[in-house]
Amino acid sequence: MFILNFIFSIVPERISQSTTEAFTAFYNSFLPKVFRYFSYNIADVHQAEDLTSITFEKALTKFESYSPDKASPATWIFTIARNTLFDYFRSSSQRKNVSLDKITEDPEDQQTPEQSFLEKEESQILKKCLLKLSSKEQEIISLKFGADMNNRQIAAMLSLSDSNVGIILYRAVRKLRVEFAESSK
Amino acid sequence: MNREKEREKKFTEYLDRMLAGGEIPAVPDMDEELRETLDFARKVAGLRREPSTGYQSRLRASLLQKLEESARKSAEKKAGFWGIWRQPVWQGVVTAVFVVIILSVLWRAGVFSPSITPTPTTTMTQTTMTQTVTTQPAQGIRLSFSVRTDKAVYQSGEDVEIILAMQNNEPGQLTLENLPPIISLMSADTAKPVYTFAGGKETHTLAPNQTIAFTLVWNQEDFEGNPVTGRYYIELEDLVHQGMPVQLHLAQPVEFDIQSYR
Repeated sequence: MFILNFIFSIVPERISQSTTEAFTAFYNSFLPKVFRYFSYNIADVHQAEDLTSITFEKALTKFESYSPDKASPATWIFTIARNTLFDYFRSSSQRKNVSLDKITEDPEDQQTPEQSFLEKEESQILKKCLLKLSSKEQEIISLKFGADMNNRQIAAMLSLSDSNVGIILYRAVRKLRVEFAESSK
Repeated sequence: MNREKEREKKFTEYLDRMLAGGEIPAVPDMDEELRETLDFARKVAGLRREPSTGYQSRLRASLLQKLEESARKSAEKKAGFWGIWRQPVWQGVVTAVFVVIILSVLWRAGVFSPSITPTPTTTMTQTTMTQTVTTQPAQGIRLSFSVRTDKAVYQSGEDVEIILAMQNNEPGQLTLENLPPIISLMSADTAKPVYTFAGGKETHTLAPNQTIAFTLVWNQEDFEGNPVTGRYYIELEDLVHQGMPVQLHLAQPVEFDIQSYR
């Protein structure tokens, strides 16, 4: 009877324990990157948080079926994040309708005393300029600066060549610089 | 054109170094356009904000709660199958089945069977000779077969009693057909039969260790009805078991003498 009890009780608990540990490690590793990815695409901090939450909830439901042989964890989570972002743009049609009023700061963001009013204003103008880029340029900027991906990873995700990603990135930043200069006048 | 490509290449190299926390090397003859774009890239990188700790902990708690719920539902789903086996009744049934299987295997291996190794024995008395024979193992049955005469020496004209006994040494029942078997009385001088008892038509089923005996009486006359004297021995013909002949071999000849009156 002891042996049978042991066999019958061991199975479900072991699975859930390992899943919790693995998901927690995965969450700690990717949450900041996913949030930054959204914050480069969405002006509103709260909306970026919401989309981050949705992304991780989707990942949670698919976590046990995820296979590292098919895609790296970064490719997997950012594929979910991209789809979440497309769904958001599709449903709200907000992509090009962003006004400066909608750009919000994180209420819990701790500002250093040195951070001047001018810096805050610069930051808001920059965010607005970001939203004026093409969707591909904006995506590459957010994957590079937000998700910490290298050109090869971005190229694999967007089905582009490494050099093409480098060219688009350089031109996008240069375009931003020009746009920012004009908006700051 | 080449200059533009060079700028793009260098931009990627310096940008990767900058985002990794490194410094851009001071290159005196760096292209002005490239320098300004890199400076602006630093401004773009300055937009990087970490999610607030409050948000991080709230989301973590919420996700872990959902994960627990999911694990619980999954466990309940599995319990649909495993739960049945957790019930004491089923565990008892499963255990009983295991015990029966193990006992059955041990029984078939002969662990519980009594030792049934046949022991050939010969008991001789002054007046009686007893021979015990067994069937050959290759024929698949275990049977003790004893043959004896009531006396070792007979006077001419005396009846010779031949007693056959057989015991079933199998663990189960044993059915023998055409009993008693054919018995020949052989002349020790010529090695030829002087008289043969015809086989019977009886069929007997013996329980384990059960013994059955037959007594045959010979009036000392040969095939032609003439009285004989001399030394004789007994020969047994085959038994029949499940339609197949079973050979019987005497370990030692059972002999007797018939003496003439002087």
